[in-house]
Amino acid sequence: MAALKPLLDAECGTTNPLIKLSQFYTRDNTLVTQDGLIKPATNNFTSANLTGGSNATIDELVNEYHRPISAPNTFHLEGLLTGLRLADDNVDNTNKHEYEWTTQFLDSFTNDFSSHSANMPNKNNNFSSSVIHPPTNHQIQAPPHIINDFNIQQHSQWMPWNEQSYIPQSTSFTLNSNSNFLDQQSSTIDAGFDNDTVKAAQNILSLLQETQFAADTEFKDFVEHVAVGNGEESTVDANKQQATGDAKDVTVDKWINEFSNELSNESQWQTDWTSAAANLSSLDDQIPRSQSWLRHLMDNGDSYSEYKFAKTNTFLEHSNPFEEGLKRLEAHDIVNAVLLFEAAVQKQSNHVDAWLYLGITQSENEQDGPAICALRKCVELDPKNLQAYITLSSCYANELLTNEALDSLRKWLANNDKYSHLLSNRRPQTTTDEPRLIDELAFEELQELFLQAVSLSNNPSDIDSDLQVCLGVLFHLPGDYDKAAECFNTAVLAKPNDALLWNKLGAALANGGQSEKAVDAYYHALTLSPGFVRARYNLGISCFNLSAYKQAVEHFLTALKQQSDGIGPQGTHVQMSENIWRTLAIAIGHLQRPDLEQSVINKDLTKLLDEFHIE
Amino acid sequence: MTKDDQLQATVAFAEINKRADSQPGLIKKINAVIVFDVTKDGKIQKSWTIDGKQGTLYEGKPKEGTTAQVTITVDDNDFVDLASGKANAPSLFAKGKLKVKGNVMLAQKLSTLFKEQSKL
Repeated sequence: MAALKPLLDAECGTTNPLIKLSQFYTRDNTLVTQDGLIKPATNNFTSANLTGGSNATIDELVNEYHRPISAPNTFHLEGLLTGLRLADDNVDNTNKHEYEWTTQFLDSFTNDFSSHSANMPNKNNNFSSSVIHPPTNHQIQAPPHIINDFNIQQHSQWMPWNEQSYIPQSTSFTLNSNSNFLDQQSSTIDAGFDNDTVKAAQNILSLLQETQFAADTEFKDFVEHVAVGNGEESTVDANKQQATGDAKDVTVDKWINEFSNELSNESQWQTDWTSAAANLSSLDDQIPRSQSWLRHLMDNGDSYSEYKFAKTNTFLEHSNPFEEGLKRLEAHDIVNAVLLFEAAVQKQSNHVDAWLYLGITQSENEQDGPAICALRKCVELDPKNLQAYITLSSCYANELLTNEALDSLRKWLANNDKYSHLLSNRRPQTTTDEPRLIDELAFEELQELFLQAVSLSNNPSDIDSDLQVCLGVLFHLPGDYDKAAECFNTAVLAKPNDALLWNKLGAALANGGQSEKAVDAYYHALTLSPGFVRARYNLGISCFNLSAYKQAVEHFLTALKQQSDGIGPQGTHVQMSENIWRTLAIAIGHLQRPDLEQSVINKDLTKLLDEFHIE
Repeated sequence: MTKDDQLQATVAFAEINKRADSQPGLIKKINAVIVFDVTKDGKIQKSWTIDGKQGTLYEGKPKEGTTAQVTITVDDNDFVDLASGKANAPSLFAKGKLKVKGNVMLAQKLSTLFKEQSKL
């Protein structure tokens, strides 16, 4: 236990103790690259603490998925399953990493339960703190079939109800050696399961009985025990596992078969789903969710249907605003680029690229509302515009329009020649026009599809950064910030000069509580693109989160200044982002400067700039 | 020891209301009815309802005719961490300190109430 303290004390996401693990990991026979070599990190972003597995970060990611993710409540089902799986595999002894990871997250659990320890520093208190988090300097090539592992445990810990209906279906573990792990008593969960746990156990038990689990397995006994309500001291600690290897091949093939069976058994699946959903009593809205989603979309449709142009635009008379806009964009003059693109579309309303760039640039300008308008116009004209969809998905994500974001991601996939076949391979789908019954269905399906897409790439050095971005946005939606950051990190390694990617990385890190790393990423973005208003705004937010209020204010003011510089001589404050003003107000509040509050309310930028010596 | 009637959550919710006031539409963006059951010493002390459809936040259980789509049960101390941005919901959830009944993805939107979201 004590030996694991280093693992525990350093939060997941930092690399120190886990670097040791990476040694094991790279020796794993099943995890070599195609040419038999583990590629060393070719890019050096150590300053940003973003070293890394240039090629296989997503694979680590994928690898991570097949591991059980921390259970949301006291019943550590997934821990049990890990233990079972580990107990099974006796193939490769070098995979100690696996159970060490398992140990780590299980211990993090049990520590919390047994000691409510303060071992989890709040700084990195993010979603996957209890999740095995691969160090970013791994290079692993996961065999494609590992992706299928993921499907089994794809329900992240953020979706508790899924466990009850999903997990046992797709497994066919042989539980011959689970006695090993059940015997581990080195750490225990709180004795006495609460009702939720018992119910969960009962659900699982009933599902177990339907599956191919061997009739008399200790696992099943265990579950029965719990179902009956025995507050049993059990452990999920696979610490002293004999079995270490992660065979994957044998078991996974079984799982693949299981899963494809499951896939073809949609009605069963749906039944389970709806019964599980029904279990969530007193939650159903009067209006079925499908309709409420539609209505929501319609409501939003109104606010995003018409683009509101700047009232005064000195570029309206420009002879070739689009070209000029591109030049300005190149020169990182975002604000003027916006005006130029606006002029371009006002001149020629069916100019697809002008709408596209207007959308992208407005998003960089911290104006997601207009960005969404513009991008929607773009896809109206060009329904196969991948860049528009990908940008739309991040804008929708920022605006918390989850369903719309999922929809855009799906459209990206569907219109992408490289991956659209994945959609057609699937069992018959409701079309995207039909409203989804629940967010989660769409989310999980997309997760699966994107991971399949990632696995399509045979060459580890061939990173599709757009795909990584999509995956990152996808994970960002339910709050899986660590995974999102991993994806963006991978994308950035493929395209280190793309400021937008650095910003996304920063945002995912920041939202996950890793403010310092976020700041680093933002600096990269701003070095590449000094006029990147959004990155500067984000930087201000991270300073704020780090309690550096004065710096936050300075960054916000700089961003506002950049925005106001782009306005013609008449300069109203219409073009400045409300978000930035609002956050500025909060930051100034923290500075205890009541004298400035009036200036903020009046949006007296000049005075504020003067006050903070920003020229 | 008399019961401390003033939950820290009360103060926290007041802050949230302030933030919501400065950003109209913030609560509406959540677009769901979320109920917080704040506990102390294991017992539910008070509830707050965030009505994303109406854009309001008030103390107490949902009003007549409103159904909660998500119910979150959390201890007063943990709620304060959550609201101040020190902890985030998924991690509390993973530790079992926060119980969620209902559509968890909707609950995720709450983070915007508690701290400034960085933009992708």
